Amino acid sequence: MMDTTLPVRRKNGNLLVPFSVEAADGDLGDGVKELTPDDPEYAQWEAWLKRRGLKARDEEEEKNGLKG
Amino acid sequence: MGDKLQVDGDPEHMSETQRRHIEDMAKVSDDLLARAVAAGLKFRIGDTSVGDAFPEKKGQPVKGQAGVIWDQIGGVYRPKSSTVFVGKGVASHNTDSLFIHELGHGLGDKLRYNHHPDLASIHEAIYGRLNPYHQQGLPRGPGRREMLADGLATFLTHGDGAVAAEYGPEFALFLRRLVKGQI
Repeated sequence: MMDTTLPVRRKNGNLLVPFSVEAADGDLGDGVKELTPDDPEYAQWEAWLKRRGLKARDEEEEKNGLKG
Repeated sequence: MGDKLQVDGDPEHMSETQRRHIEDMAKVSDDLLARAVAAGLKFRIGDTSVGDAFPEKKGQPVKGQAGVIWDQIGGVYRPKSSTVFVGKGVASHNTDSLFIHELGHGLGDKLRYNHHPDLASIHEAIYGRLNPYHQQGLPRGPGRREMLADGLATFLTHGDGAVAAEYGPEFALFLRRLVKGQI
């Protein structure tokens, strides 16, 4: 199964995932944050990967093909 | 695009980041870009973060993300000035194209695609299979506009088959109609 919006797994096991923000002035920003295993959102991403039968992108692989 | 496109620095000596954004812009049809410009959108291609590109954002905290400041953010859509800015953040955004993702936010706002009833029903129908980023805020929340932005990026970089595989055929059809100006 193809999935193009995957998190990136760092060597230490943490996950890099996208996040969005809406500022008070209406600006919509898009960035990336690092989740540690004790973060509740980490478990949500892991559950999603498992449910979809997917693996996070490898950090080294991501470095070789930076996108944004 | 004339004065609707600004490239920071010397356009003759763009950085790798800027060249990548320009390459991504070339994946967008002239017709779709023309509709974006007609809707009032302007584009700025930078080589810095949002915080470094806009003085009023420099050092400012990002609401809802503890410890994050705008200097770490690589892309933004600014509705008040109708500006799409893409540069670079501390890490690459997980989307297929940051330029197209931000364009998606601009189109979603100016042409009201964010609130299109077909998009709403598709998002609700596939909500259970979406990742936490596309689920955020429950079905009516910001996850829907992020799905639109990411879906458009996937559509224009990998084609409608990739969108259908990831989100289902209805969303691929919605994006095809959007790109062709049929909605």
